[in-house]
This record gives sequence, C-alpha cells and structure tokens, in this order.
Amino acid sequence: MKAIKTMFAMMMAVMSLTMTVTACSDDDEPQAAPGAAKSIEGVYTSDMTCTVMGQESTFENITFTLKATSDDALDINISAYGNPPMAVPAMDIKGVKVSGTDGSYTIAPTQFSGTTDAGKAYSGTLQGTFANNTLTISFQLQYGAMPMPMINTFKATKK
Amino acid sequence: MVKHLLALVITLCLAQLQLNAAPATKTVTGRVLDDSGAPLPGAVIKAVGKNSATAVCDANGTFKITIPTTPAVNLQVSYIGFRTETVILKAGATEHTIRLTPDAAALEQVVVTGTRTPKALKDAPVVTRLITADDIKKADATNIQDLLTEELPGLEFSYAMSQETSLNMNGFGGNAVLFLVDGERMAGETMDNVDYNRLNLDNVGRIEVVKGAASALYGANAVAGVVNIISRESSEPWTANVNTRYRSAGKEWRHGGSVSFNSGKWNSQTSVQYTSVETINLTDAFDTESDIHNVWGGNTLNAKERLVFKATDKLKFIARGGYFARESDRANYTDHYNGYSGGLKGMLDFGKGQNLELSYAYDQYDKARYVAGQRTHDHDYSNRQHVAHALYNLPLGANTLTVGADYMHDYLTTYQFTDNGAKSQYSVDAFAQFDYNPAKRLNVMASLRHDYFSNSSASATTARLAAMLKWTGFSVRATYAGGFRAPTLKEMYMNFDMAGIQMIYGNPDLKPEKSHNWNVALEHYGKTEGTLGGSYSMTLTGYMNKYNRRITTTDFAGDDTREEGAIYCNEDGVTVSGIDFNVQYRSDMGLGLKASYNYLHTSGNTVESQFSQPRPHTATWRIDYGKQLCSAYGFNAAISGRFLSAPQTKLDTDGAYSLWKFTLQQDIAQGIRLNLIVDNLLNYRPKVYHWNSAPTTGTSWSLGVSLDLDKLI
Repeated sequence: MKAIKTMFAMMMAVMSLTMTVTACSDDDEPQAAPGAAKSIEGVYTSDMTCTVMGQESTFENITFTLKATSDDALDINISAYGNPPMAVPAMDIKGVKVSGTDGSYTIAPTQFSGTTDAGKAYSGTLQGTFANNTLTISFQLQYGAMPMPMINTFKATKK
Repeated sequence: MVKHLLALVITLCLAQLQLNAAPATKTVTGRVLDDSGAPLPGAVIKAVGKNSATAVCDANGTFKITIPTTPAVNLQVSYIGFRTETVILKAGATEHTIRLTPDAAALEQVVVTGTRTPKALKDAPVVTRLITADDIKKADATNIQDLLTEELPGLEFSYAMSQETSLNMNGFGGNAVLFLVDGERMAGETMDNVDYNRLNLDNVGRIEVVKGAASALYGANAVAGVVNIISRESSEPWTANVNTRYRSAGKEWRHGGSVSFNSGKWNSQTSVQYTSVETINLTDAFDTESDIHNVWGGNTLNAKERLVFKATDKLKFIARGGYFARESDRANYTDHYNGYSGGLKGMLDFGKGQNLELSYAYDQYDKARYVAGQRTHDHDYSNRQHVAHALYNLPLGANTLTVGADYMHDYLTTYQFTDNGAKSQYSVDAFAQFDYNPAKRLNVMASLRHDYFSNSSASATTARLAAMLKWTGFSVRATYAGGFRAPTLKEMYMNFDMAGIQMIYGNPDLKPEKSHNWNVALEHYGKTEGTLGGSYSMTLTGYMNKYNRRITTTDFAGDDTREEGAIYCNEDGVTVSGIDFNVQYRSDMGLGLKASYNYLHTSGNTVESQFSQPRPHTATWRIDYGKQLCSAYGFNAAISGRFLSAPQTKLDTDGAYSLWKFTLQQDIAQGIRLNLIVDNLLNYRPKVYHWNSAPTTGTSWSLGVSLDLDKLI
C-alpha cells in the first residue's frame, strides 16, 4: 500500500512538473483547458426563486460565490436571503464536485449540513449546471425546525 | 367325531372371516379451544368419510372419538360462531389440540364497545365493526393506521406538516374519533388525536369500531365514532412467541415477543415490540409540486404487561402497565416521544349478570426535541391523566340497567403555552343505560350522560336511543346518538408563536362541539349449503350526522395585549350523510370474501384542511383461500385492496387511487408462521405527493416469521 502511495506521489510530481514545463514552454501553443471548477468559479448575482409548500417567492440580488479548490471541486458561498421567519444567513457549502468540458459543466448533487452562527442546524441538497455561460443551481434547504423544505432555484450569467 | 371336527373348522373359519371383516380402530382424544386457548364445550367432532363417528366436547373442551386406523380419517370440528375446520390428525400423536377461529361472518362473536355490556354481534343494537385477531394476523399490518385503512372504508390517515398524522373518518376530523385501549383513554396528542404508534398490534385480541356518536357512553371525543383495541387474554397454561419481520419499504425491521402464563388464579401477558425504519425518499428533492418529500424514519419501542388475579370465582383484579418510546428523525433534529401507562381494575361478579367494576388509570405522554443529541427544551410537552371509573350492571329480568361515573384529572404542560406553563382541569360525569327487551325480537337501549368540565364550567348532556328488531337471519336497527367534544386545555390556553409565521391563541370561551347522529341499518345473515356451504352476512347502513360548533381556528386581528394571528373559535355546522355497506362470506372449504363500501356527502362547513379532505367513495375488499394440506402444513393466500375516490374539495389535492396487496400466510409444524406480503401490486405511484396521497414509491414486499414456542415445544 505504501509502495502504491509512493508511486502515486511520484506520478503526481512528474505530472505537475510536465504541466509546469508545458505551460512555460511556448506561449504560442494553445492553453490547456483549466479544470472544470476553475472554469466556472466566480461571483454570480441574480434573483432567486424560493418555493415553500408550493408557494413561490423571489429574493432579489442574491450572490453565489464559487471558488475552485481543485480541478473538480468548488466551495460555494450563498449570501443571506429571506425575511423573518425565513431569514437564512449566508452559508458555505464545501467540496462540491464539478465535471464537464468545453463550456458545459455539471455540478454534482451534493448533500450538505451545518450549523449557523446562531446555532441553527441546516441541511439539504444542491445540484446545478453551467452552460452557455449561465450558471443554474437548485438547492433544497431544510432550515432549523422548519418542517417544510425551501426549494430554491438560482440562475445567473457569468460576467 | 368327523362332524365335530367339521363344525370346529367351520366355526374357526367363520371367526376368522369375522375378524377379517372388522376394521382396526383407534381412539383419538384431544381438546377443542378458541384462539385464546379457552375450551369450547359442546364443539362437535365428526369423522370425515364413510365412518360417521361423532363426539361432543365436555365442559373442558375434551373429546374422545373412535375412528378406523386405516385409511387415515380426518376430523371435521364445528362450533357455533366459529369456522368449521377439517383437521388432519398428526400421525403418532395420542392427544390432539384443535384451535378454532371465530367466524366473523356468523356474527356470533361477543362485542362490548357499542353497549358497554357483552353482546353477540348480531344482537348488539348498535352496529359494530369487528376486526378479529385472525384479520390482524392476516393483514400483518405495520401499524394501526394501515390496519384500519385496509379494513374500513371511509377512513383515511394522511400526513401533515412535520409528519404528524391526520385522520379523516366519514367526513369528521381525527379529534372527533375516540381511541380506547381496553376501554381506557390515552393521554397526549400528535396532530389531531393520540399518538397512533402507541397502538401496536402485538397481543391485540380484537378491535371493535363503532361509527357514529357514542358520547352517551364514553363522553368527550366520541363525536364520530369509537375505536376500542382489546387485548388478548390467553387461557393456555403458558405461551411464548417471538416474531420478526422485514419490509422493503424503508428497510423496516420489526421484532416482537410475548409471554403469557395462566395458573388458575394468576394470568399474565407480557409483550414487547421494537420497530426501526429508515427515511423513505418519496420524490425528488427539488420537486416543487409535492407537499411531502420524505417519510421520515425512526424507531419505536412498546412494552406492555397485563396481570390478572382471580381472587375468587366472583372477584377479579387486573393490573396493567405500559412503556412507549419513539424517536422520529427529521432533517435537523429528532423528536422523542414517551408514554407511560398503568392501571388497576377490580371486577366483582354477583352472578346472573350483576356486576360492579371499579378502576383507576394513569396515562402520561411526553414529547421533547433533540438537536445533535442535546435536548433543546423548546418543544417540551407532557400530558398526564388520572382517571377513575365505576360501572355497575344490574339485571332486571330480561332487561339490564347500567350505571356509571367517571372522574378525570387532566394536566398539560407544553411549549405552546406562555413560558412553557402548565394548565390542568378535572371533569366528572355520570351516565345510565337501560337495556330493555320487551319481546324476544325487540331490543331497545336508552342511554343518558352528563359531563362537567371544571375550567370552562362547560357541561354537556348527551343521549342515545337504539332500537333493534330481529327475526331469524334478519335485523333492523335504528339509532339516534348525541356526541360532544369539550375544548382541550391546548385549545383554551394556547399562546404559540408558530415558527415566526403567526401567533396562535387559545380561547377559554370555547363551547363544546356537538353532534347528532341518526342511522338505520338492515342486516341479513345466514348459512349456505352444498359445495359452497358456509356463513355470510350483509349490513347496509344509512347515516346522517349534524355536527355543530366545531372547534377550529380563524383569523385574529389582535388586541391591546396580543398581536394579530389566529385564534380558536367555534364554527357553524356541517351535515355529513351517506351509506355504509359490508358483506362477508366464509365457506367451510376455506374460501373467504369480504367487501365494504362507503359513500358520504357533506354540506355546510365541510371538515377539510390542506392535509385531509373527505372522499365520497371508498371501498375495501379481500378474497382469501386457506387449506390445511397435512398435519404439518397449512396456508392462506389473500388478495386485498382498497379504493379511494378523488376528494370532494376545491383544493389542489390528491386524486383517486387503488392499492392491491397479496398475502401468503403459511403455518408449518403448528408453531411456525411465515408471512409473505407484496404490497402495492400494481406499482401505483402518485405523480404529485400531496398530504393525503398514498406515501408509496411503488411495489414493496415484506417477509415475517413468527414462532409459537409453546406449540413447538
């Protein structure tokens, strides 16, 4: 097992060296495609629809900040939204997997859970796509003791 | 000499011929018992085939019959009110124990709920629907909700927010139906009635359901009906059972066990059941049309003990205790529910139907919320009830006078009161009933009751008049019954901020809900002969309920001390009318048919909510066939189902649907029972999961094993 790990580390080192060398070798040659996560990271601001028990409402100027943590993983920060009693503070969803190439990407369904600074537990599921320069994210949030989920849809264009 | 020798030879030959002609015989002995182990004196045992030997059981249920050794002879055992069984004798056994199953179609089984005195189904002036122990075994239902919806049309359980269960029965809400265990009330509430998870089916002898008001006998909450779950009392010297069942829906495991002993003076019944189930995802997490996405999992423990001490032939004491614990998972928290019950009852039999019953009962139901294993104390709830009863029956010739009184102390502390405060009240009542039998074919029963509630100073007088005219195979019943429901402590004193959405206020000035119920029932029962020989019964009931002052909530504009929100109020009336039709048939050869249909029509302020609405047409059915193939193997296969029409409502809600179920029950070696169930045979799945949709994701199956250790040993 240790041998495999060592071999894997060496391969990774060689690969990264090769990539570095390739990147530095010739500026005229086409750039290697950045990782999927890097391709869609950014700050997105738009309106978000929120459906609770079939009733839809819209929250304006909600910001989703996507930050690549590796080629295929993102951390997503969702800004605070809603009004009491459905006022949800900003939350981070870490380790969201991304796949795809050539401007078309899929954000894998991701289960998340956590506790707000006020000590309120939350959990849910998030998934999405990125295509035609547009990010679409759906996330279902079970917030605190609210018996019904908030089903949110966010759509924004990358600037 | 030659003549003598010839005569001797002829005599010997004749003797030999006679010996050859007489078949070898054996004497078979045994006992005939009912399903609780009580002897059935007078049961008739008849050899099947050319041999026409018969025997009749003595007072201990014992019989002795002489039958040929070969070929093997089966015994046909019959007893009034029980199914005629053909028994294949176990080879080599000298003693045979034969258990008969009550024949629900024959209407001979004794019920108590409709009158508080024992009466055969066909003689009870109030129509009573009986779910027998055999029905319960065959259904192998997960819980009381599943069992009742499989057996009774017009009854529907649906989910509400936070997955509390909401009941609709014949157009009434859940809080209009009184649930009893052995005639005793239970404390606490979840959505609109008791926590149904406390009503586990282990060790239940039978369930009696009386539709229509019954407050003249049972007081508050018996507005639309009474469901009485009656424990099994074994008469066997000892019994022990362990059982387990796996159900694919929710990967549910149910384990149970029960032990009983009977030593003449002492009789003990102990049962324990544990169930665990995982959360079922009904639909996609992003489904914005469905109201319900998951059926949350959890686990439940039920333990019960019932101890009977027969001090003398005339004096009996019954002590009971129960413990209940349930953990119900949610996305971010777990709700814990606990129940504690205990009681002591003394029954004095003066003979000839004169008896006195005194009892005390305690019941407590608690709720608490836990987040990450820590109790939050923001959902603490405890309801504690102390109840004392007295009931006296006095026969007066062919008639019976019943009088009784009750006292109840009700204590409630809840997060829905200001500062988690506590409130309590007591209620007292007295009632009398006269069971008048002026002629053999006529029975009139009149009941009157008065209840008083301390906090609201509210009182209610209710009455019931039931008459029954019967002749061979037919009966006509007509009943008027009054019902009421007093406002609960929660409805009077609530001061609750519902998740910041709105305030809900109690109202101490609420009046008791009132109902008036009229029904007429025609019944026909009898026996068929020939190949399809057996028993059958048909009951057609027409009913009308006028329901007034229903307690509900309305908008509240606010006042000097309270912000706007909702407040409890009395609402104008609703009229619910309809028909109920039941037919059942059971053949001696093992074929059974059972079908029920309910039609209801509501007008006025129809009792509906977003969670539950009345459905005009509902039906249930079951066809089954059972046979004992040899002494070590018997089976019963059944197809059952239910149909619910679309609700009568303007709300965007569930449509019509039907669910079908296959059950195969196998009895092996007289002590092993295997149950295989395939539920939702047609793989029905709602397009949108409304609150009252069937919470199914399609076909599921379950497999259960039950071992009667006493029979195996």
